[in-house]
Amino acid sequence: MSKKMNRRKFLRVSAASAGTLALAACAPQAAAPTTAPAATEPPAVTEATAAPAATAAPVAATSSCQMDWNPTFPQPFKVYDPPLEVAVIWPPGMTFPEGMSWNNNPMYNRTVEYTGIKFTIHWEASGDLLEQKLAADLAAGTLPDVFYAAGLFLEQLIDNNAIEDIKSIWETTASPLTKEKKMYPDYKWWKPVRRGDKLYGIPYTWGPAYNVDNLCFVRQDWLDKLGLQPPETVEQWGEVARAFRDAGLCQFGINACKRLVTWYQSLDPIFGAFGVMPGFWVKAEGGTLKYDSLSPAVKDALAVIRQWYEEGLLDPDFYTYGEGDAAGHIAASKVGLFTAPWWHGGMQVKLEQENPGMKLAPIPYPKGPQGKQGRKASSEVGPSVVFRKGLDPLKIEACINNLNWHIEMHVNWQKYQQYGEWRNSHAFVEGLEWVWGENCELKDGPLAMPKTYEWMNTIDFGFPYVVYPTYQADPFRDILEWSKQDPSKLNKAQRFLLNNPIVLREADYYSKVFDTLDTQIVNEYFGNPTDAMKQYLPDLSSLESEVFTNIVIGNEPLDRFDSFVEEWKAKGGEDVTRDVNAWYKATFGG
Amino acid sequence: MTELIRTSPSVLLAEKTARATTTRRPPFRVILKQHWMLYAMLLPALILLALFHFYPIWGVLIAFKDYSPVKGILDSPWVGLDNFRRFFESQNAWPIIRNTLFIAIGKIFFVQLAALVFALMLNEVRIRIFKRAIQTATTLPHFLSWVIIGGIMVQILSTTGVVNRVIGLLGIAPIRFLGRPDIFPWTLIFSEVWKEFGFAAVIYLAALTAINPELYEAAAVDGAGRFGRLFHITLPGIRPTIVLMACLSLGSVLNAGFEQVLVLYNPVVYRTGDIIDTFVFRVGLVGQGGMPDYGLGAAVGLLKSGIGFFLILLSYWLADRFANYRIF
Repeated sequence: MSKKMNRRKFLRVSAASAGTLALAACAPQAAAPTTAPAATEPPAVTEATAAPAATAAPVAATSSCQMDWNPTFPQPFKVYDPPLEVAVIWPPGMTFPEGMSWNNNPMYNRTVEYTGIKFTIHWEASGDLLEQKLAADLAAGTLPDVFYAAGLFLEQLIDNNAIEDIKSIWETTASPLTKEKKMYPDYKWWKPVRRGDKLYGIPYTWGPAYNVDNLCFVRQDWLDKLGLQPPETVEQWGEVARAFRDAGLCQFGINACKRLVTWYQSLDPIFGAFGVMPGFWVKAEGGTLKYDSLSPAVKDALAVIRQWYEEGLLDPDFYTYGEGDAAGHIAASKVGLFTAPWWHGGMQVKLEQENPGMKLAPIPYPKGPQGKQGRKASSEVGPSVVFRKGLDPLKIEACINNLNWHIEMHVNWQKYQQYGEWRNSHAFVEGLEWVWGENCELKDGPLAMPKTYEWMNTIDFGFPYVVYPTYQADPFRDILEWSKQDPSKLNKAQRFLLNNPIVLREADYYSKVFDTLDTQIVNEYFGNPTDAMKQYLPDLSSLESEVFTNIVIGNEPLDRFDSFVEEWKAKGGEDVTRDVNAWYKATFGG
Repeated sequence: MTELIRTSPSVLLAEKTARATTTRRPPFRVILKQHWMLYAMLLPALILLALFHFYPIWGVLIAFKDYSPVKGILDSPWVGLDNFRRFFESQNAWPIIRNTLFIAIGKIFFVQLAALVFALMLNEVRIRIFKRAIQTATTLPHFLSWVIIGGIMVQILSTTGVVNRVIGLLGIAPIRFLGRPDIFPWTLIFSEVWKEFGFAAVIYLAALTAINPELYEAAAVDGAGRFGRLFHITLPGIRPTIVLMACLSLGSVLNAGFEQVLVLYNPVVYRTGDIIDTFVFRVGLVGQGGMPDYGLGAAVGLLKSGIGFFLILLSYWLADRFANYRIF
């Protein structure tokens, strides 16, 4: 019974706050948007609830609490009236709380109100199915208005004149801030969509420190127990792992999985300590690229890992585990040293809550014998947003305006809203993400952040393309700043965010990745697979992982590396290298 | 002697079919009128077959084209047998074919052998509840997918897993079942045996029940022991079934078990564990640089299907020849 009451109460609250109108009503001090359309559709829940009048009552009761921040959204750009419909691809299986739907929720309503675009569902799919459906759409001439494309698919779309050249609309519509933040026109992520004087799309511009760059972590509680210092060199990694293992604290010591260089539980910082990154194309002398797996230093790194394996500092079966399976070793206290991206911070908070005594702490990337440090960098060049051939130019303009709006809101957030977290991307809606608690402080609402994060990824379809290099870093840095300030100087929203240990931990880790950009090793090749690559790379990549893993686990002698280098070159690697360098020269001149 | 031949089942069957073809068949129109309900019942299945099995066959064109999803199947340029040439020129082609044959034939042989021995052993068990329990327990793994079994296998075959602990008690050093190229194919074969022998034994158990118990009684009276009865009654009695199973399994010698290999293999054992299907998956569906090599994948798939088709024809011919088994 009481459960039901809570649910009803929640519905009322969310109903009242679903529309941005209601939001504005809660904040009398807010400057009302200037040219906002009259209203969004009435929240469906009002119809669903028997007594619509009752919905206002609880809000009136709670709104005796005052917001001390500005919750309104900016309106600096053009609003299309009547709204334009733009068909996009949605991921399947989105769920919404009762009374909301894909086209009636705070995120969606906000976009309609402030930009005048209604994103509609062309179809729902993700992954392989998405690609297949796009291909089928292309053949049938029924492409979505806007979608993502990358690699060969993008190239073929351009070659077959299936997408619009947006150059002139982009030049006139994109704001100077947008162009600056997305590093138009010369940064490398613009290369795939630029053809001579034409522009075929807007690239994803995640920039560095995207979500697969690894940090190193140690079991701080074990270090404290044994009175050890955090390891700073590759050699010390071995020593610390040995000490952990010998003290009976863990079974192995260092975590690894079947892919040595990967996005999670990776050993890339070990290779980085020797200044190399297997699988990457790196700059060599004379303005050329070389395949780094062949560098002699890889052999040194393999020797270290092989030594660890021999001593039992790695799981004897590590090569049978995927990334996620290997991560289970952390919770099971089988390992004390591992790597993970910044988002592991949230999982670490939970791990520490579930395993009393466990304390995980970040450590710097280990140094190699020559004092080098390094980690793999994620690819900076990703897919691009493209517009189907024949799309109404007004809609293209509207999408670019939408982008302007997002970036303006994110960059100049202090002009518009003061809570900051995720800035534009997060609706931060009362009754969803937060509700009023005692003493008029904010407390967690019924809908946790991951949910609205999911919507944000979809609605506006916009999330990935509105980003720019420091998109994630900026709000995280702000959060870190607030955490050093006197809490009484902060507003309620800021205090609410700082109360969340996950946000704080993630902010800390994220800025650690961002602060070590100078140590990252970048894969310089981002072109499409050439004929030689298609012919030889599948064989060469499996040869490489086979040889490296077999060296590590002692099935093959260390000197197998030398014959591998020769084998790689002889089995088509020379041709691949030639193609890669031809691409490099063509793309970056010279 | 002629009498004996005349009454042998294959001859009778042949005669029957011969007679059927010599008497004039009524025109199809008449048959349709007579049996239209039967044909109507057949129709939905035929439509489904045509829609989902025959219609997509034109997609094999991809195997002869430089397929691009943007251009579509018809408009992609023809490349003749280039995709096939690329496969056979790839360093992996022959090792993959060799691995596939070795693993598949090993599986067929050992699964059938284990099932036969198991069925014979179970047939000797007299306590009914015990028999049932054993049979249920051994059939069960067949119904679990390899994704689940794979997870279990990785655990029990790990260096610290159950299997290695048991053989550790015998003083044998841990064996890397999943981490040694020479052992891995056998790991695949025997994990398949473990999963499938119980189910494969069902057909032998069924055949065993068809043997007339009087034969056993008579043999016992004549003084035949347990093994005597096994070799002179049981085995001859189910010989047609054994031959049939051997013939029919010929059709699957190119199927080394895609899911199983995919969940169990790792970089260490690529050399001996990579099979045609995993290759097609890696190259034709996952691809390099985000772009699958559809043409190559389709070509290899078509090649496999072509050979498989021939082998199935062969297996049915053999089954008809040696075990009197025919569908058509």
